Amino acid sequence: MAHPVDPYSDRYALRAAGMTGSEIRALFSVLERPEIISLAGGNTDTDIVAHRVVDCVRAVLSRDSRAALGYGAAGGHLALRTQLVGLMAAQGIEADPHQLVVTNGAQQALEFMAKVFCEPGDLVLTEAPTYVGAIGAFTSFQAEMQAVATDEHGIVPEALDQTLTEISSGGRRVKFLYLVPTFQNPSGYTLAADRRPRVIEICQRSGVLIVEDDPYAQIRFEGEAVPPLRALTDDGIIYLGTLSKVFSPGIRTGWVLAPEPVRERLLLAKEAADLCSSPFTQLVAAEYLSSPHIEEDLEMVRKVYKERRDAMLDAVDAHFPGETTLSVPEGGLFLWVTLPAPIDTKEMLARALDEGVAYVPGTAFYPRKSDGKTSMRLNFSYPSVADIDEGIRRLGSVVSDELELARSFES
Amino acid sequence: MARVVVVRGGRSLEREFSLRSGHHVATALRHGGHDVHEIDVDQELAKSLQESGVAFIALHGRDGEDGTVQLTCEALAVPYTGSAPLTCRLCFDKGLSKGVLHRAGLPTPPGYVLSDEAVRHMGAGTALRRAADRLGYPLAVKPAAAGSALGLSVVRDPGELSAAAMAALNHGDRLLVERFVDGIEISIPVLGADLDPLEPVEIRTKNGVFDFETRVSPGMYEYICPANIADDVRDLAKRIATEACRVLGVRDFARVDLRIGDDGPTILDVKTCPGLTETSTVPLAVAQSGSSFEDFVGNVAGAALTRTPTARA
Repeated sequence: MAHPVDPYSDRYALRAAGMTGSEIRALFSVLERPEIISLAGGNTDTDIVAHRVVDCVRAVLSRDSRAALGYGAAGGHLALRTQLVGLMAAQGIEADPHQLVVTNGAQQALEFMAKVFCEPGDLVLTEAPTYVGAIGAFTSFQAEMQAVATDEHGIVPEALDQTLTEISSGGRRVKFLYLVPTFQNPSGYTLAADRRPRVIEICQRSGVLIVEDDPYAQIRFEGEAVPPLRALTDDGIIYLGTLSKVFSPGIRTGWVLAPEPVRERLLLAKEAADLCSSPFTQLVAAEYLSSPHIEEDLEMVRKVYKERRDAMLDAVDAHFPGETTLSVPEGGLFLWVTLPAPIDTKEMLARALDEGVAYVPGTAFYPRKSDGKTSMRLNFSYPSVADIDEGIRRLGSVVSDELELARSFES
Repeated sequence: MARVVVVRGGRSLEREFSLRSGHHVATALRHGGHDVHEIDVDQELAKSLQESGVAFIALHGRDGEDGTVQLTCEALAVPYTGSAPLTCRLCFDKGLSKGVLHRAGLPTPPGYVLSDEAVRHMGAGTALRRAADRLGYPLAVKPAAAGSALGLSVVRDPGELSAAAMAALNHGDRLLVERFVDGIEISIPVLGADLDPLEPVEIRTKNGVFDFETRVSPGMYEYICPANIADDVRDLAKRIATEACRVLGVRDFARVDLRIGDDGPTILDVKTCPGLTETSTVPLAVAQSGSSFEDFVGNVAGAALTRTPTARA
């Protein structure tokens, strides 16, 4: 008699049946162990803002407890949307609070993009590598993802143009291009200012929407700010923002700025998903954004993360083999490190965990699992400088060991 | 009723599976009326063991399957479930257990073990290639000592050999390269003082190999129990499973993994601390036999309580 391992397996919708497990996630169970230094997460250091939250919570509950503890509007609380418009204005984006839908982090917005736009088999283009959570969100609606050549200046416009032409001549249509143009996750790359208008022009010419995911732009340590694509045009761009990096991931507050007809669909999607984002956390976020502290805290975030990025760059320089290449991001949370072949970072993860250090293998960030084998993403925003030093020392030793083994097989 | 400490979690990469096994075991023991305490592997482990009446070891991979925790229990004179340290060590090291099985005349795929040291410092990469050529492709390349098919590769041509060997050596200091047996994969749980075999559970996978990626992907595999195999093959496989456990010195319970190739059943692995999660093969076979998981874990703990570890070299 057949015993499906999952007794409910014949009841799932196709989109759920297609969701596969993750070896990396299963191995990361050991991250609970205190001896492991994790350079794998995407967390921010919330200690920097934690002391503000108590005051914000107290203010919200003493002033607005009925609004905070009840249901709210699907589009989000007006007080928060007004503050978010101000936050975007500082980035050069003109918007009106009524153009926004507040979501549970930008991750929910990503799922809405797929839910609203993608039929099974529809094509979505991305950078290469791209954000792993976007791969999960889009493929959960059976969208097909195709990566476009990307270099240290971001997605390559010529490659995008050629890809779109090829797809179009094959009779297929791209639903949208997904970009994290500034301090990209995982690569840390920023789409160069001169490429941005070209990317917009190519997509507009091809009738392809751009979904601009912009969580990291405010975390710039150095270099000149580059305006978001949405600051250059409002035509054909859906902009996703989040407070996860500038305030707190735990507050689960993101938003979508979309053209009016799209916003109407997103409102329906939001109502169907969870009626509304938590009014309580929205009001706490609004309280924080209206306080005089955000710029002061952001300065501290930039200072602390820059110290940690520098510590990580120094440590990689000291402990990794000379053939290593890496991004030197001017902001954000991540370094993207590429090791010499034939190192396979997914296979090497077991050795690294055994030595007490974790990272995310490069393959996690590509739609095609054969890509990214020699790369890894390292997070510098969460671990302390001491943990970065020790973690990179351990990882460097693992890499050297792996390289020596690989060369032993070649001889 | 003796206090039962369920040891689960641990430091190995099979931690996730062990946490699930431990939770399933602990729940079943509680339903059976036992006083149960769940613990992880940390500096407090020995102290917690000392305060227990019996340790139910639900650890997978190193520490739990290689005899480390069992040796600690012996030193503390705390009764524990499952096999003694020597058998754990033998079974956890596939190179050693294959040798024992081979000497006993039991079928196991031909293979060779090579160490990381030999590859790095003695040029044994060449030996690996020669061994592979002699065995013939396809081959299974895996760590000599790891569970849950971590680091397992099926190698179909020489160009894939080095990457597979590196993957295996990332999970331990020795690799096993053995002839890949194409055929039906089955697991046979073996229980009790007489090492009685339960009905074989057939494992069907979508990609033909029950590797780690498949194991963490629900929907990529299913179990058939009893296995869809001829009666004479079934009986032979069960006899082989019991005999393998006997020669290796298994106690209380184990799981024998086999493949049924053109030459009949052949042993891949004997697991002294097999998966006991709600979706593992042992609980499935126990249920198929008409018994309950609650009775199974109660009997295993009861058997352990009748033993007092004795000092041995």
